[in-house]
Amino acid sequence: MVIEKDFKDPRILQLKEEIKNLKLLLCQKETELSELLKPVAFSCCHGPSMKGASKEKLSATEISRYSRQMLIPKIGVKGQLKLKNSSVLIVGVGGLGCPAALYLAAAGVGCIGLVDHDCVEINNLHRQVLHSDVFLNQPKVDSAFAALRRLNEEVEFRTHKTQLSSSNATDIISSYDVIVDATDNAPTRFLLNDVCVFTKKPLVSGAALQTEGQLTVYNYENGPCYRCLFPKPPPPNSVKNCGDAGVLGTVPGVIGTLQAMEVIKILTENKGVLSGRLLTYDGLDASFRTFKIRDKSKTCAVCSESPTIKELIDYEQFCGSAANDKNPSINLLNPNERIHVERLAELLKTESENNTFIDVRSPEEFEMCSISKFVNVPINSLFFYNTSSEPLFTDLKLDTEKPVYVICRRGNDSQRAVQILKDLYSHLEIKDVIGGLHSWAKRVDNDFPVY
Amino acid sequence: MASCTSSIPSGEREVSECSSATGGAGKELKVNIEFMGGAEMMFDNQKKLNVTLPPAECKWTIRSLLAYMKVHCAKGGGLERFFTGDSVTPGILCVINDQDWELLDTLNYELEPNDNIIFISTLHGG
Ligand SMILES: [Zn+2]
Repeated sequence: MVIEKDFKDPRILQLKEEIKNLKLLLCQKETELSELLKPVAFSCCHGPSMKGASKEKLSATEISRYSRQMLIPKIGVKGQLKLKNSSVLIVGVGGLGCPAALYLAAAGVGCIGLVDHDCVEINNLHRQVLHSDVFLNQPKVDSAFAALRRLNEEVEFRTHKTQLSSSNATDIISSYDVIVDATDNAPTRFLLNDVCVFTKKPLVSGAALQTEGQLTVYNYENGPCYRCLFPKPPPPNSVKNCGDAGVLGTVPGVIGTLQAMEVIKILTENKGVLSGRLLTYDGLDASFRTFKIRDKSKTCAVCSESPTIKELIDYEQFCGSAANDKNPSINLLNPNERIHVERLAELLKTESENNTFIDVRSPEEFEMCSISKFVNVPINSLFFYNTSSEPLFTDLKLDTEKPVYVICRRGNDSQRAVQILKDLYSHLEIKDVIGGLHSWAKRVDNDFPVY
Repeated sequence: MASCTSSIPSGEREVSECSSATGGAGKELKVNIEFMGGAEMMFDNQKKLNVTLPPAECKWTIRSLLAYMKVHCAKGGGLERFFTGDSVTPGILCVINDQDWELLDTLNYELEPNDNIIFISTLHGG
């Protein structure tokens, strides 16, 4: 039998606090040291600024450190020197960027740039493996920097705590040799592609969702660019993000690691770079597949001989969505069709028997956490009822006379659900809960899980 | 593995640009369809479909296959996330026998028995 530890033990709590403070102190001291070691002239990633080390030669320590990969004939001293004198920019220090940065730093790439404007959130930690509890709510670039520096002090790291945009992208990207697309949204992917075409940089592009991943290299030698493959942006409602659809951490782990591999091949001038081919990974099926994709398009808007786009545009406008993976709030209902969470709390307390409470999140989400008295009717099943127009309430054995209150995670799907339900049951009073369970957790029940 | 076979006589199918009768007419045509990257969501979450296309007056193409799939294989709402016009929605790649359909005349590609057709939704998450 397992004896449960008393986590309220004051000594345990005290030690946890002390260790946390020591970790922070360690980070401060490491930062101070790296500031002191920093070369005075910080021109750009290339050249002699690099930790004062020799460009043409490997030190004894470097030979020992990288010997296991230098033994490979396709790498050798020549390849290692190429890595040492190269710079790579990783855009997005999340599920893909973390493993990519980890392996590139370990492999001895001379300079690694990190771009991200987000801070570490607790729901990142299962897959963004450079970040840890100590860095919650701290910038991701700082957290990644601390972890990578501990791994390899020989590498020069440069952090860009900013959102890549049409105004700053060219400046940031120009000084690097290869760009890694480890972002999470369509507008930034189009932006990165166009900058890489204009500045002639290879773009190693990865993506992951749920249990599947994809990988290809754009704009390499005479290969296609992202726009050759996708001349039109996807409709905003067709794009799923990790926050809604979920992602298993190992999947971006696999794809991010493969991105690092493609970077190493490009930098060491090895053949077999994944250009003009698309690799897919299906984690559940344990299968990797590679498909031949089209060549560079003669009519491509950016990379063809007669481009129609010659400078960076407004990519959020072009894609009709924001350059992040957050969901904006929508407003579909009139104020009298909506209630606040405080009113919901009253109804649940005093009149729960006279009302019907519906939670329209997925069954997986409902199982993670729910408010008692709520019944789960996933919004997808409502879409289905809507098309087949079968009576929903008889199926669910719900009362067809009582007012209905609909909740979801953030208060968007609940509005869509109210619209569908009103079409089916026009005689009923149907309202949604503004702000959904996020509001509930914030304003009514602080112990309710937020995800 | 699921299959979706038509119970509707071929005469009632809505297939556009079916102008000339060529070879392959008068026989059923079996093709394998796969979905990747979430495209299966509009097809009852089936990652693989064996489709038996009814005898047609002219050769089946990707265009007429898509029209057939819309009527016989797609389920639930949100079909605009897969079908746009007579093609697929931007962001979805079509791969025919391991080759990008762009290398094979896209919508006009004429289906052969046992062709393997994969629809890949591009992912954006990271
Ligand atoms: Zn192009």
